[in-house]
Amino acid sequence: MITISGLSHSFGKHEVLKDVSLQVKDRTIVGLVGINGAGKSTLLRLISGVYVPQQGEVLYDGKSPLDEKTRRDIFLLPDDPYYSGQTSCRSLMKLYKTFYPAMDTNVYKEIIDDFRLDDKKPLRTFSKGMRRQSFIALAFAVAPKYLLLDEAFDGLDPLAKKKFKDRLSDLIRTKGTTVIISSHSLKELGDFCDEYAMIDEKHLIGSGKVLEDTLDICKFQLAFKAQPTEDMFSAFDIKSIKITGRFVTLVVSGDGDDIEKKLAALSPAVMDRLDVDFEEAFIGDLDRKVRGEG
Amino acid sequence: MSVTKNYFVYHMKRILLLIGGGGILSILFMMSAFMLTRYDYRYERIATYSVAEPGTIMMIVMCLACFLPILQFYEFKNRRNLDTWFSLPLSRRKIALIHYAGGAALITAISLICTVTGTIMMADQGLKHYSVGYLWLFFLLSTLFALAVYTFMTFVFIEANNVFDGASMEMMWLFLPICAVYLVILIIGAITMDDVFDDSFGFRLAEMITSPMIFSEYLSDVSGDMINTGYHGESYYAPLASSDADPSVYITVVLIVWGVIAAASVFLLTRSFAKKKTELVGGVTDSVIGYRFWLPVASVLMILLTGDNSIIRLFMMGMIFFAYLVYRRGIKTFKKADIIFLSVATFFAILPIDYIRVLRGFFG
Repeated sequence: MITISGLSHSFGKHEVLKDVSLQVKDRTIVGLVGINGAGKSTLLRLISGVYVPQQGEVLYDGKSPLDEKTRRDIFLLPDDPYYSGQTSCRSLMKLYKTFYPAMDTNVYKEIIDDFRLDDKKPLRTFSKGMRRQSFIALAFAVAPKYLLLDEAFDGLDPLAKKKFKDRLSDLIRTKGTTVIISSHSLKELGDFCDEYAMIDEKHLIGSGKVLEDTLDICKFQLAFKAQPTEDMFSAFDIKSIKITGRFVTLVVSGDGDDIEKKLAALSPAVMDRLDVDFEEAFIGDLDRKVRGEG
Repeated sequence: MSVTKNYFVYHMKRILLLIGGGGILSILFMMSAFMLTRYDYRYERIATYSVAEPGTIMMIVMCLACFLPILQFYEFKNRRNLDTWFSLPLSRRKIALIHYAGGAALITAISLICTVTGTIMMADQGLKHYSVGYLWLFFLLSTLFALAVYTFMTFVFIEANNVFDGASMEMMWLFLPICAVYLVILIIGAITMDDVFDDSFGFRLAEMITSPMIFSEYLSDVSGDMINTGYHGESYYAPLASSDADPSVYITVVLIVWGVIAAASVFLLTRSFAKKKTELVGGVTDSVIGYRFWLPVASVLMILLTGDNSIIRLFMMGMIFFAYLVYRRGIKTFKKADIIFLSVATFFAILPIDYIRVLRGFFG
């Protein structure tokens, strides 16, 4: 289990994370979501031992990632991993084999072949997606107990994304790996994470098993006999609102049952509760903040 | 094998490749040095030789001593690289030591290759002009000195937050300490009314300790004289220091001092590498052994060592200002202390006063 407690971190006077606490159970995939600059990468660096926490602590079954022995069970795939000008897939495999002696080189070769990557060509000649594939192959070959992925889907084509997700599920099933995966592309995480944690403005603003729980939001579609206006919903904590003719699509923060009762008081002709489109809600929330309404 | 041994072996294999490439270049340099050496027989002894072989070896190893810290540690001056490096299951201290050891192995190997090449070339020439034993003694001394300089320069480079600052700080440590010695000697001379520049044993020693270049030249010149024996087995001796001190005294003292510096540097470089905040890498270097220390010192040295020439001083203050711009990465980030210091220094630089002469007048 990964236990993050009271984690705060600043770059000079700029506070990036404040009092972040989270527990990640074994054999789960946790999606770490937030906009660019929210602090996802900083949190992953703190979790992996790259940064030393200024306040709070991170523990893996009671052990600190600042100890090299703990890091034997951790594999961080950063947003932009290190490779030199001459590094090829083959030399990358040799380098990582020195750090992770139990790494399965056959798995690495198999994935590289699957992605149709030339293992002798320098990585600098690869596209961003191909480079990402070569590092993803490393992560699966290492098969660590804890896998930390920063913007792992970045640059991957749809087929590569599907292969990646399938392999990740296999890894958790066969090796019992715990995964924390960060992304700002929320659609990518929507269909396969066990839990979600959302970071915004230094804080972890929510975590839970389903997206709605994470944000404490719900979504409704309503139809009115008369033309509705935004003012009608001023009593609600609106995350996003879309009015098309007499139809209203509403994402609201708060308790779902309470909101449903209040909306029913507005006498809509039709009212349906929908699954939350997380990205839409998230972006709506941001829009409001940008407009100074949040 | 443990991860530490694995990575040590992996890194040393990379160093082996560099030794191969660097070795070939060094052999070519050494062969050229021997081929260009010309002897002029006068008064039954060798009067001149145009290229000193020890000088070639010294030049190669000293260049390595200054360049290898950059080669071994530049990867750690990019914050994004550190995401990978520092999440790997190897402590920062061990990473630093392995990379440091790689550079040290490279210096030793290249120095050895040069010395073996020298020995072969001397044997090829029938050994009549040479004393090969001294060449091997020189190998030992020059390698030890180069390793000590490399160790210190590695510490200096690691203290920087980016490659450019690291290289700049190495340059500062190469050239500025000797200027400080000159200034101290000038001040002592002004106070005691003695000319202590040329004849003083202490001055020569301070000069050699604070300037790796001066000691390198001294060591290779002395060794050159010992190695290049004359036609009748006599050594051509050019008095290198006007004091009567035995060269072995200078060499021993300098090597002991640099040995202590190197031992401290090994401790400091691993500590600095392990403790450095990852998030500061790539940004402004604010180390106490970098710009923060040397820019004010360089300003004072420049004002005191340039006599009363205000024009040269103003030009040099311009350079110091530029150095501050580099240090702070722009004028907006200047601190109050920087502005106050630059203003005061410029004021004293503008005044057409030879401050050392004033000091001499004061004590005279």
